[in-house]
Amino acid sequence: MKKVLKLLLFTGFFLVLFYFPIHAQEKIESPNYRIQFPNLNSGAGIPTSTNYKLDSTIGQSVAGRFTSAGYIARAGFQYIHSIIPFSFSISDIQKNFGTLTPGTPSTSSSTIIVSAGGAGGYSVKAYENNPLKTSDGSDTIIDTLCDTTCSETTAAAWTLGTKYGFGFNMDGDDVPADFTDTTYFRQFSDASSVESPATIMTSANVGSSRTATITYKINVSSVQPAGTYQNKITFIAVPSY
Amino acid sequence: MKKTQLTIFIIPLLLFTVFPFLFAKDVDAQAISLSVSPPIFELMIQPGKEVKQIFTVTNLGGDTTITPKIIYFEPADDLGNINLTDDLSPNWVIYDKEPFKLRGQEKFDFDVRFLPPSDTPEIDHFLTIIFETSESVDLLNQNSSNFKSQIGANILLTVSIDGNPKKSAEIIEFTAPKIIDSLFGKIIYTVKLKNDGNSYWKPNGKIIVDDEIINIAPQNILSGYTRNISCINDQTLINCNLKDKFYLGKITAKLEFSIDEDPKIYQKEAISYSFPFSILGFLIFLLTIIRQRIIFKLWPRKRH
Repeated sequence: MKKVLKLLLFTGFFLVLFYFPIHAQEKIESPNYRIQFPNLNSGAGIPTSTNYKLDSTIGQSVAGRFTSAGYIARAGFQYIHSIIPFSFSISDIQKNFGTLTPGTPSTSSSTIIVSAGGAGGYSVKAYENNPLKTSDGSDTIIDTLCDTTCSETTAAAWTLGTKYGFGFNMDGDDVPADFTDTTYFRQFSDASSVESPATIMTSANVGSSRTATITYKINVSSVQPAGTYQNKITFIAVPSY
Repeated sequence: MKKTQLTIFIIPLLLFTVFPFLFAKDVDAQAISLSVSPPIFELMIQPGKEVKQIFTVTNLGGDTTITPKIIYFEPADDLGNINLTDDLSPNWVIYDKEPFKLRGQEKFDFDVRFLPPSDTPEIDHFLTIIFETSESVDLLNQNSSNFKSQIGANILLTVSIDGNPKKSAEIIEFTAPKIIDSLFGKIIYTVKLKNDGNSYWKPNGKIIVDDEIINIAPQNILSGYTRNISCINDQTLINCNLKDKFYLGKITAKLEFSIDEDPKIYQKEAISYSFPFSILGFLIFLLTIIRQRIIFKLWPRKRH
């Protein structure tokens, strides 16, 4: 019995050692505010030094008059007395839609999280390089027009199995109001047709961990040529000024 | 096999197979997750001077290659959102354009130097520094979409010889509901300002209603553009609304602000009227009921 106990202790020790990963993120990121002072005047003559790290206002805090430093600088928002990073994450780097069956829509989702704690607001935009295409570009799955009509800026219901194409739905925080429910879809803005990236999340107010689900949907007809269809989608997350 | 030997074999096996499932977390390599700090950098600089700023990029997802670029942006609306352009920053904004590798959980301090030559025109430059992740490698050859992400931080840059660019403001809108109900009405002020000057600025001021003061947020307004200004309370952006209390009669609100440290004060008034409509309505309803009850009581007597 002693042997068993020893073995258990030994095994337990190694399990704890190997199965609990060290998350540097937890230490660095939680509220990783680097407290910086918006009006720190200590930098006269410093800016031309290449080793100088400018964290906050250096030079002269009274706007309208330069000192010999010749600049006024400020990092972060004046009304938030700490600099909180702006962050963006999406749960996937690729979405595999698998084998497509004509008339049977294929859907898949990703989670988007934005933290704009240090910013006044933010927006997330998205665009595709082109509609889903085969590698030689000979065949295309069109961007959806929904049941009636929808575009890269206006969502509409897409429930009919006889309506084909590729589109997406947004659900969650700060998503455009035209995504009335989970049956409403839009096309992605198509860069190959010179369409501007469209906003898929936005807020004018400070937000922390704003979360939305993006659901992609493909439905193909029985006459869709066989092949592997792919495209690239770019998400752009920027804080407001 | 003896019972003890069997136990020695089974218990570690169970622990090794069950533990990973108990404590497994999402695999970071499957996600894109970036952060950038500071989210905004403001600089007024004399031609011929030099300033260096560091933007810290943190990768909280899987290993990736980051491609940096600095491009111009344009205001997208009156709320401070932006549209990126394809125009690259001027050549005196110097940074390493080469892609760099950033492993998961790693930080990278990215240097940007601003060195406007002495003949640089005195104008504003509205820029965004963009960090773009590399595309994923498609190993599956399936019907799929590959994702890339771009995360940005804004740079508001003023080139000025004397540090005194012309700054001028116009109050486009300072309004509130004309009439509200004293009990259930809410007064929310709309503040919309325009920058008529040559350089961006922020308003510093407040809305005053009797003894109540609402501070307006010092949000940047770019030259030639308008912006809806929020109010601020303890570093939190809020709507510019009065406290929920019983107001009666005329409510005069005064908007007062200056731009940056300029001594000129801009002012405008907004007037609202508050009446106890809901109370009056309730009283009328009550009176009607009472009246009807009286009529009903009297009515049978009249029939006889």
